[in-house]
Amino acid sequence: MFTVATNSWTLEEAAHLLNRAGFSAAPQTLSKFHRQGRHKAVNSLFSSAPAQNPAPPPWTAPNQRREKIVEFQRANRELRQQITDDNRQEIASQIRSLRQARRREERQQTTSLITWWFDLINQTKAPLTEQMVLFWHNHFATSRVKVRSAYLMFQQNQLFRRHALGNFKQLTHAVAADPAMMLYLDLPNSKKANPNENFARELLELFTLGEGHYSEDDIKSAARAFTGYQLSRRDGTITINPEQFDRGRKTFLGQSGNFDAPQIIDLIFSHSSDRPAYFIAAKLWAWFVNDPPTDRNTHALAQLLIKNDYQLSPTLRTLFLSEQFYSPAYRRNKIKSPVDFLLQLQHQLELPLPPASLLVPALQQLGQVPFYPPNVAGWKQGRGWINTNTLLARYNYAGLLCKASDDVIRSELAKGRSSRMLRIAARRWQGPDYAAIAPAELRASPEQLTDALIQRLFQQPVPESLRAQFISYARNKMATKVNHKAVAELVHLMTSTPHYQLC
Amino acid sequence: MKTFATRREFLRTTLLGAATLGHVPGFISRTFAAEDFATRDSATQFQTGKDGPILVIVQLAGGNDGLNTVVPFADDDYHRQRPRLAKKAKDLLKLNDHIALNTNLPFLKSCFDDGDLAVLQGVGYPNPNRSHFRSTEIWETATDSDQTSTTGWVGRYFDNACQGMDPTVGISLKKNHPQAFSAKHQPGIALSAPDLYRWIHGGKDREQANQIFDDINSPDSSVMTGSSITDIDGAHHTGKVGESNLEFLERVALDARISSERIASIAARHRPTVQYPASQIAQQLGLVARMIAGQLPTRIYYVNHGGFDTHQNQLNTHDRLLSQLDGALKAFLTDIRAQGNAGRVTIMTFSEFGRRVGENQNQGTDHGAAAPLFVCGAPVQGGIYGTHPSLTDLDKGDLKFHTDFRSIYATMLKEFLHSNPIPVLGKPFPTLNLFKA
Repeated sequence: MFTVATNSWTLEEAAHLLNRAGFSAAPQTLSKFHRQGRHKAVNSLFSSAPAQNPAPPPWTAPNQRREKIVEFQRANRELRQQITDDNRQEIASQIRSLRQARRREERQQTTSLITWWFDLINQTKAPLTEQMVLFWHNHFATSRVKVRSAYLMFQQNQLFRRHALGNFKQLTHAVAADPAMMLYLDLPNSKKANPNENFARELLELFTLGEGHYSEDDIKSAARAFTGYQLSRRDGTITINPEQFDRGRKTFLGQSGNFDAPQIIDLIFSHSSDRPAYFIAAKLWAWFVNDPPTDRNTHALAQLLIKNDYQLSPTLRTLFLSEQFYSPAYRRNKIKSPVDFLLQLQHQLELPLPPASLLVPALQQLGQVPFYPPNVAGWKQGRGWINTNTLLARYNYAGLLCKASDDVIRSELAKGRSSRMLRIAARRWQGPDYAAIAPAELRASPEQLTDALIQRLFQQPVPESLRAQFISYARNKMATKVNHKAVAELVHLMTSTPHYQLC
Repeated sequence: MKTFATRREFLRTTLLGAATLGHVPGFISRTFAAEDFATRDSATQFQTGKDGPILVIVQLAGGNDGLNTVVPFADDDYHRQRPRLAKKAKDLLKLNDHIALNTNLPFLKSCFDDGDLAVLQGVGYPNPNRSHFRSTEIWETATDSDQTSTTGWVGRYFDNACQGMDPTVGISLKKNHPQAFSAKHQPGIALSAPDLYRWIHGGKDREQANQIFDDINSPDSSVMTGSSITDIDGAHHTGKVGESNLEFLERVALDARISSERIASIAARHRPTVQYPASQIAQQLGLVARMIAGQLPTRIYYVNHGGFDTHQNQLNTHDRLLSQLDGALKAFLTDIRAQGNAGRVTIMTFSEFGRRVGENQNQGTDHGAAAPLFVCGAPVQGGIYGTHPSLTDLDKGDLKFHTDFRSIYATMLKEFLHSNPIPVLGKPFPTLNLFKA
């Protein structure tokens, strides 16, 4: 089905690729990307090494983590040893505050993880890798709420980065042995006498086969194979307790044997008529191309995956080089996820990383906090991102980022009912460099100013009726003087549109 | 169209005018605008909601363990199958000689004693599905377990019975729009932070900015005239059926604009009369109470209380969740009573499934099937409905249901919301005597 597209391409096609395979770009970066020609540009997405900078937060170093835990355990032990009949309550309260301090630190660590990841995406030369890290985080969704360890969430994030464009089969094996996932779906301490079905069920339903392609008995057999694991929370090492592993005969997907966990995963890929290829192809198509995929799209991409033995890199390369990927019907028809929305805006307006106190509340309002998916099925994509509440939050957050709403925020502050996020934004956030984005010569003509900003934010013309509204606003401003604030207001109007939610 | 002073007036008139005209703008069409023009003088008022019934749906997400919520303490099999998780008779709030409420539900017990709490036992559906996602979908779409639907049961109620009302007919306090609200015409709105539920813009010429904002957030007439809205895609999308992504976004933007001024002003004017606990469920219900006080015409509110998927170390987690639920309901119903609105409000809980009878090795329970649910409030005829399912006559280790959840929906629709359940549920279900005469 996939036909290789010509090397020459339009700027709009280049923008489409960067919006979907990456996180959009400022005009100059986009035009440089475009000038390479389609084939070189696509190849560049696969040849860049994953980002090394910024370096992960220092607490992610394994020895620091070990020391922290040892220190906590020692403090805990020492307190316990001091317990006498007289001071029992006082010591108990000291132990409680020790635990609270640890939990607080843990939460702060997750926040630093979110800003580190955003910073990394902002700087990376390999945006496709980060799109795939997000894809896998959504596919093998794991939440810190249950895992309760920023360190293990970081380890999982790095695992997704190592396998980002690798092999789906191998990644599934790796995820089944990933400490954060194991904790999330109750694998540690699942014992042969009474195996826990949580992981087995989601492995089949959400990770590989999809609902309706396995039986309840298959789940029970798989759960028996995933018994006997033990996990050290201290360093995430996994051991197998042979006493608790069910080595008995199991029947799974029509095959019988004394299967262990890796053999179950092998059987999923070898004895399900290639179901995992179809399952993941549909999700990839919805993520990168169009949602929902038709059966024909899914089939074509699945065939490609099967041909490549589940290797993502050659599969996606063929997709991004194909005429089909650039079909006008698919362009500017994807609803941006909150992470896409924020990072695209950041790139398009050439913004620095917002402070965590602004970024994290915004992600919460918009409905996608990395490391906190709502459940094991991940975030609801596409239209699931948008409701009246999140749409207004997008408009308002855009207003904050582009510095268009300061005076309102100040008057709200006077009334004392503004949220913390708004306060911080008004005080600390510098906003875009409008002198560079909209230099004086552009501001002389409302049409030129509007068209330049449209190109920056939409990378293609918008409907004429919309453009006319923007121009009329710009013209009205020109009666006086087009200062930075006026440009900011125009940018805010442009981003406060249904059109801007699409890429 | 130029006869309207502003585009906003045009849209308000057309949208809200539909109520008086008695039919629905499937999407705002030119035909409708023309038809409506004649009646615009009588049609620009918002409906107020001083008298109508209000249903608050509380989703207990993750699969609530019914057996440790409404406990069959007198049944030896309960203690036998749950050596570590079973609740002792002395730790429970007895409803009769056989069943008792979990001790963390003292407020619900007092509702029961006052005759305002209905405990419905053995609720489920044929051929139960044990996947969270699929079973939630079955409850939200109210289909047979081998069928799917692009609309939810609440959305179909809006479509059938709340034609032309303003978009606040349904409000979800949940992060995602619930599938239950998916509708052909009227999917309701989502709300979580009312202070931010408006477009915050800071131009000097705010009037012009607002005017343009309204314009660019209105359905584009060039899109509206197309026939594209008739093709149905089979995917499980929220919102209206058959819209393109852009049409979907434009419609949500319009709903947001129409509802935002009102909600922001209600939020500013109405503060809770009681102290709500800090839990998310309590905060959501506190917001619901403020919206009710502000007399929104909302028929159905939807709140979410998550974390019930207790595969491991269940006891503390489950007790804490029930305690949060109880504290939240206590604050809410006290608030509603103080407002004088108690007679209008009914609360219904649901969860996608109960949990397995026997505990697992990790001091937790795996996914099950039938479970009890609660319906409470002043309009409710309190009591115990149905018998407790047998703990030995099981379906793959799980309790068997005897009351289809759609019977409860049918009862809500017919007896409480006073509308016809058949177009909503697709077929008749027996109703229960759940409400006071």
